[in-house]
Amino acid sequence: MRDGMGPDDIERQLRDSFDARARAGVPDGAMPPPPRFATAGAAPRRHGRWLAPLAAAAVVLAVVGTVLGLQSGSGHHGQQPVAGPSGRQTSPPVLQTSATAAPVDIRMVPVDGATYGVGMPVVAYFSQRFSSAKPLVAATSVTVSGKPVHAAWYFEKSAKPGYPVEGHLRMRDYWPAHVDVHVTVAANAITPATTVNFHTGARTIAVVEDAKHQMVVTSDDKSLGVFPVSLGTDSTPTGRGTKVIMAKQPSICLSGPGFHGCGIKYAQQLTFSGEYLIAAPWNAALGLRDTSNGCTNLTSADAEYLYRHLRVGDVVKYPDTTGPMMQVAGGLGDWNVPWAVWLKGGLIPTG
Amino acid sequence: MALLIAVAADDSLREQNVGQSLQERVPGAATVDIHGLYRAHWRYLVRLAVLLVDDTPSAEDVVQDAFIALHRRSGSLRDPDAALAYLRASVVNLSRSVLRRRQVARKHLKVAEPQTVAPADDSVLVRDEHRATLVAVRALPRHQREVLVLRYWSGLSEREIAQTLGISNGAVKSAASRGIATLHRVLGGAPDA
Repeated sequence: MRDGMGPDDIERQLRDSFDARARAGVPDGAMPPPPRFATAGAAPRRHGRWLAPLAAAAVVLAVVGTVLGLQSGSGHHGQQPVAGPSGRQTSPPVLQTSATAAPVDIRMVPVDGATYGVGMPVVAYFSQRFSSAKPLVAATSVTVSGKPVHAAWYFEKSAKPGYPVEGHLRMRDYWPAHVDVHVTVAANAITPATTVNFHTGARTIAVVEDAKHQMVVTSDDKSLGVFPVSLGTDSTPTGRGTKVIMAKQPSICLSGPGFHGCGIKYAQQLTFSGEYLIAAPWNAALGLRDTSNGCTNLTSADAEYLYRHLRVGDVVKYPDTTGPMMQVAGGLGDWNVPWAVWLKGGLIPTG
Repeated sequence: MALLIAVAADDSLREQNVGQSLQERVPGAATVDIHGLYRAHWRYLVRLAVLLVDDTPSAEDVVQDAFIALHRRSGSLRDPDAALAYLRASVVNLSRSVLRRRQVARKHLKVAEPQTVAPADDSVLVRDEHRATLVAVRALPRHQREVLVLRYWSGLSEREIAQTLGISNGAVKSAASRGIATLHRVLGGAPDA
């Protein structure tokens, strides 16, 4: 215990606080909007160029609206990004979705052929808000290994610059294991046609039992093991609910209260707020007590094993932690929304 | 707030492990590739601006304006490093303008004050102890605040900070030490993190 803080502590705290504030303002996954210097002149047709190469490996339909298309087609003005500090549209006008409205340009990110965990939702970003999702819903069909299945869209505000809305598409339960999923969106009043195809791997579900300080992992109903963990302390509790692995990084930097370190290995990200499964060789309380800043601390060997055996889209449940309930927007929090609520469509009604 | 996962450039989503693709790539071309600079440094520059103006929408505007300024004079810049230094200095200058406008608005439009202060939006995502630090930093004189951000967040050297702010090395040094001293006084009694 120390009474006050020395200059070194202040410097460390400054680094941590600046880092936390910067990340809160611009999350790691934030994408640059189309640059205004480019839209000042010619039409910004080079979508693929400005999309930064970051991408958590979500299955994604990137729905990209070109300024030009909207301007010339829909007759809605005030959408064009304006060069100048006062030009920001804080609440863009709602795009009408009548049959005559010009479609938002749609662009599919080529993830075809990739394999994901069964908890992976399809994510699409929309450059404009629209008043009803009915045309999109009607145009969407999903098959699992060739057979039609019922999957539903759920919409929410997006923090991605230039994309006010995002849609998540999932079935009532996780995707079946070891299947091919095909999503087709036919041309409709909101978007042009697009498709995405991907595979699912094993049905791998991890349950982190805070009371027992252990993580139980099953894959296709076979046990992958039981691993001792240490979760967030009472003041920095790990969030509750069902999470999905959204990204994997062999080595990362993490900062938290009184802590900033790099070279943290076998990191599998679960929330935007910064909850990961990580190797925590410094933690002597694995299996005993909760001592972390919210991350799920594992031994180096276990973290490496899980890094090799879990994939993006695999499900990690936290039924009994004391932190806030996982929200859809907190990461891939889709499975915390009851199906009846999901079917209503969220931000944009689907009925 | 919302989900921000995914999306990628044309081929960068092939791999499922996004670790590598998260690395920002700096263009190594001989001439300034402004699109490349934009892709590589947008996030860094917006974060820098967030730390200076304390709200994301203003920060994004600042960065757009900085790139527009660079675009206008891109003919005269050949070196990507020089271009980044130029962008950084633009971000600092434009952030000052934002703060100045905010202050003017506050003086003359008392009734509008609630709207003219920085929106609290995403700073609520920051934990309490960080918020205390950030509030203390915000209360510092402008130069000190800028120096601390460039030093402890951007990790710039004294000389680079001096060039960015257009002040002497000595001025950087004294602003940093005065800033730290004030923070020490203000935050000194805080319990150990």
